[in-house]
Amino acid sequence: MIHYRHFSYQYPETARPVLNDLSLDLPEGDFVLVVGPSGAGKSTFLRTLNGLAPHFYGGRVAGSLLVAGRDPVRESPRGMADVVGMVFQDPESGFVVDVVEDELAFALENWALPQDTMRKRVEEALDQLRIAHLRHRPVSSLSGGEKQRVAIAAALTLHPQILVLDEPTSQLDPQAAEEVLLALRQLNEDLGITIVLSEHRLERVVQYADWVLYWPGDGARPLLDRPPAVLRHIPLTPPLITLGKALGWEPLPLTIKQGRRFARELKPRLHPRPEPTRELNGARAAVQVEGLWHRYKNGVEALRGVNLQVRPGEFVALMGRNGSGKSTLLKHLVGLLKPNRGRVLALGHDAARTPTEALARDIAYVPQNPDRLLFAETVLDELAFSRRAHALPPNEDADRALLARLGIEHLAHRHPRDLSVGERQRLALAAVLVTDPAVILLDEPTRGLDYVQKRGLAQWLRELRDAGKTIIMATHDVELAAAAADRVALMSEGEVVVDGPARRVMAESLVFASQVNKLFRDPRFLTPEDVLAGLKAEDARRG
Amino acid sequence: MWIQQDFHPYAWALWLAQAATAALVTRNPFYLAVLIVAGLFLFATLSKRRRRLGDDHAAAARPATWAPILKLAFFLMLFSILFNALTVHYGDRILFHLPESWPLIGGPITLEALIYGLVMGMGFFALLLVFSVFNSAVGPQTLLRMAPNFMHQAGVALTIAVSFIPQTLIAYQEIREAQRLRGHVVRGLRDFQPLFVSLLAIGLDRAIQLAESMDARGFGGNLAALDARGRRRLGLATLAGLSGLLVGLLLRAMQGPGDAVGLGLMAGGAIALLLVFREQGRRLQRTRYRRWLWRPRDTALAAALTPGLVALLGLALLAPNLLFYYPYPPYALTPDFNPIIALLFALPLLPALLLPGKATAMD
Repeated sequence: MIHYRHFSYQYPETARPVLNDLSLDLPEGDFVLVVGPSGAGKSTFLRTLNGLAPHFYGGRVAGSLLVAGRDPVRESPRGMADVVGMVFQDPESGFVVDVVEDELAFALENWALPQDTMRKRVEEALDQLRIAHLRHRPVSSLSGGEKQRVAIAAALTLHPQILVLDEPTSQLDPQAAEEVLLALRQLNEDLGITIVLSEHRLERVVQYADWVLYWPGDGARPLLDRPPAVLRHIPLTPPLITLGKALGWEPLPLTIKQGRRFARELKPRLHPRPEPTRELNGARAAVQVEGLWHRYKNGVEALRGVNLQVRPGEFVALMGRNGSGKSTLLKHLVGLLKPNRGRVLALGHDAARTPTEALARDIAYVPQNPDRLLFAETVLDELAFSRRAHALPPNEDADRALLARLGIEHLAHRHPRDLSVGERQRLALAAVLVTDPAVILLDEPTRGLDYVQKRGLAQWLRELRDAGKTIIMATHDVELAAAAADRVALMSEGEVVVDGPARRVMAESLVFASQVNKLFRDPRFLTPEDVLAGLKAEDARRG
Repeated sequence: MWIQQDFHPYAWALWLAQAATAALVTRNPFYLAVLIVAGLFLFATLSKRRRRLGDDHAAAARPATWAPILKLAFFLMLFSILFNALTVHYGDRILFHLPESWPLIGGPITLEALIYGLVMGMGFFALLLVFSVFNSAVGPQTLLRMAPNFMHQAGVALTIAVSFIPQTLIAYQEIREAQRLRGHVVRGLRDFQPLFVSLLAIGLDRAIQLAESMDARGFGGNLAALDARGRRRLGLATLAGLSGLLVGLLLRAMQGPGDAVGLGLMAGGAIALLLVFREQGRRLQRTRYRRWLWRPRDTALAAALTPGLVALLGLALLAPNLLFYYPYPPYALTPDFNPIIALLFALPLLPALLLPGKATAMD
């Protein structure tokens, strides 16, 4: 189906090829999962499948590539459109027209198919993705999962044999991601469409994959094999598999169901380490939210009487579906939004009456898209900019020290836009941390991060908390919350539904439970580290 | 598929021609009032219908977006009355005097000036109303889809541009928020620089993503190749057409509007360009997904509007004095009123009467 023979591709004006002497065969009709660290060349690889690389980006190509009997390098993406359907990370920026049905017809009109055929194809695609009820809706009014399904349907109308998806669920909450992945699996199983999909959060998708293609990055050769065989060898693994590898479980479990058997055997041997009790200093709340209501101009009631008290030194994870009010709440804490009713006391200031510019000095906020925060020419300038804006004296040594603590000091003179997603995330953090704020607010900090980067972030946040900072983080990344937060507040429809210690809340929840927690159903075990520490304690007792 | 369609877009286009002509040919306040009442009634009918069809439809929200614009036009009309009355101190019927020492507005305030302001405001309001109704009925996307083939590429570009505006506004807001979070207070023009740089970068990113998506879906692959001779012929024709237009314009500007040579050159240039467009359009192979129904009520609408339009144009060209109105002396202050002519200005109401009372999903 897909055959690479000594295929190399090099972007223009770069020193090294991204794909180097690649020889690879992807089987027909299978579900291929593409994984690897950020910046390893996954996206480039996917874009060679329909010729976007090199046709769109330029650069040099060597060797041969055949996709469904055609050569994308010769045919160009337009010529490949009826063989390879392409779906991108952010569906919204790929939409051309405003109504769902017209979006689906766009490729067909370009392909000059007769009207009857078009209507048949559009109806089929609407049914296959179960979006017939959305057909007259403007795309801008859809939820994230719906948008992505529309994008997939739009790619399907030309009846491609191969569907290529570049991190299609990275912007979705777990439920919406599930929606999209189930639809893909169905396309794969019922219609035999070959699916090539890249994804960071393996726990979502690894059970559907027939093959895993691992890109180690740094010019090393990719590895293609059955999922357990690949996962055994790579560092980027979800908690369940990390635990399975550490304990030598065979065969390596990919799903909770497969893992339960091992967990049952292990459980009697587990003795959890005692939780270190943390003294929270000061009785006064760092952030106090009292009966907060907020209604957007379009009439959506985003917050409906939220009460929340966060003490200094606490690490709170705000969880809940997309649209449950997490971001709205965070924005109130720095005064970006004003409440309709109720009030927010942030470090003793009424957030609605203090200008955000002043409040932001003590309450740092990293928005969902950290790129929005960055606008200087170099990484160091970015920090200097923050100092200037807050009328602080320039202090390059301190800035460098901060960058070093975040592990990005070597990038000090690079342009922020040239950094990888993970590096930009850390730079955005650094840019708001220069003022040494007491409270740090993070909105969805793990978007686009791989497991290694996520582990780094979790550790970093814990260090900040141990240094006495108060952290409030909105996320639907269950594993990050399990690994880092002390307390979880679950939001739904603009209200805080559950609020309590992370262990208790997550153990009681079905959706917002970590993998390890689902495995043991015990509030004392949320992460692989908890389990391994429990084992060590047991071994020490015996020894 | 024709869920949003109350009339065929071509029928609506005819409506636009008739109604806009009506708004442009006269300043007679009685006729304009008839037109405005008819337009407002139709606008209300359409809005109500859309609301009944449900909020889910793209078209449902459209009248709502035009309502504030109409409100603004109404205030502009009031302003026009006030401004004209206060600043033009000409006319026989003096209502009252403002002290002469007051700059600009001091002096006699006349009924004539007041009415002239009203008439100008009404003309403006009527025209805007006509376009609001048309836009909420047909929508820019449908218009673009109706566009002839040679305009297809330009049409797609325009569609994208239209959707970019709200996206850019959102990005602008996000950046402003982000900058406030970093303590950046915008004091002078120079402080806007990081904002524009970010906006530009975001716009570029988005453009690249969109272009990739369009390329991957076969956009632009449907233009038939042209041989060297064909290319040369098209190039020459374009050049000739453009120079004809330009020279004709220059001649007319120098010799005055009566210049026949200039007029001839312009017409020739225009024809040459149209031929080029037609040729280009023929090379583009594409089909249309949307079909529109032409129903009996479309025929009825067209049958009534076409003679209406012809009558209005005939009146404007052959008997302009029947539509003429000017309040200042020496003309009569009271406008004429001819019920038959007034009927022509009531014609734009017709769609509201032709629509079935109960809206169903298949209308």
